[in-house]
Amino acid sequence: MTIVQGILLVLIIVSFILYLAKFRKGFIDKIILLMLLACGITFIVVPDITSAIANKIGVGRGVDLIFYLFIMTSVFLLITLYSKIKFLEKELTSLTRELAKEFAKKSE
Amino acid sequence: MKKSDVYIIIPSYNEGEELIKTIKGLSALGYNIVVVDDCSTFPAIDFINNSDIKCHCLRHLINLGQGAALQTGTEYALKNKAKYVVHFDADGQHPVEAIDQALSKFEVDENLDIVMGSRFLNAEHTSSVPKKRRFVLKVARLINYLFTGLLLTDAHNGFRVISAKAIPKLVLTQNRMSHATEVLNLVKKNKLNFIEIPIHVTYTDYSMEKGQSAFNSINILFELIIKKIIP
Repeated sequence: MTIVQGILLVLIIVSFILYLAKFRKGFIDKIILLMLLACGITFIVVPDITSAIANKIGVGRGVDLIFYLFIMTSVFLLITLYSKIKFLEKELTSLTRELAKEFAKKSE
Repeated sequence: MKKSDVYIIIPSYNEGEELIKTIKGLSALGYNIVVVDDCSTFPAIDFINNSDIKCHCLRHLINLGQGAALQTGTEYALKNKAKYVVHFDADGQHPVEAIDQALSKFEVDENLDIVMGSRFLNAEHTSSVPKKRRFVLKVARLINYLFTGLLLTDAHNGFRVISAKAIPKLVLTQNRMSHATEVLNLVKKNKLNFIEIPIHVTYTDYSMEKGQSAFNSINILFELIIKKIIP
């Protein structure tokens, strides 16, 4: 692997992490998923590509490459799902709170 | 300050007799009492209506957690023009005397934002805290310091009195038990003026059984770490 490849890889990984932590946008999430889908389809239709890429970046076999990509995709999906859950929790809390305040009772 | 300026918020989950006892103990003070019923199986309002006590009662239709209940009660108090909001446990662990003690601190210092209770400012109070709890709290204190930069003597005390002007800067978003740490975070972030006062917490068999286990601190730690990564 050349230095340029190394630097590009690091850049992509760092921007990915930064994106996850700070700049999330639903639109970009979908683009990322589409790209991953495109990768998936490519690997199925042209399986030899996986070995070629794997050799270039120094990963064992094409299968290993797919494995790593799968892990990264899963982590990404899990984080997006978790964020959605947290958001829903916030909404539920808001609703429950407004209802509680609206229907407050006094002892009788 | 007038009696009607003070609102005592009591989050309650499945507390019946104890809640009534606690409210009766507080009623002599003459302040407003707000019970926030966090979706108890048997609604708190039924216990309240069957007893001879006066208070407000709000009910969460789903169970959100103690932090959320406190925030709901606090917002309700503010809606009713409260000047001081007290956070007080339903199970009889908190001392009634501490409320006036805390309120007097506000009379002395008008820039004070929040008074927090501590079990460890005084040897006698400290010794009444069960050993295992003491150890967990000492560790919690250090972890709180790591996360918030504030080293208080008591990391996890639910007793606090907040002045109305500070409340917009103390919005609780952590619904469950990590509100204590969230309060510290907000105090630090918004540079609020705070002091700790010594309070004596009464541990009874009932409250110990119902209270948090040491393991819950792991839950809280987990929540804190996750919140740092995924705000």
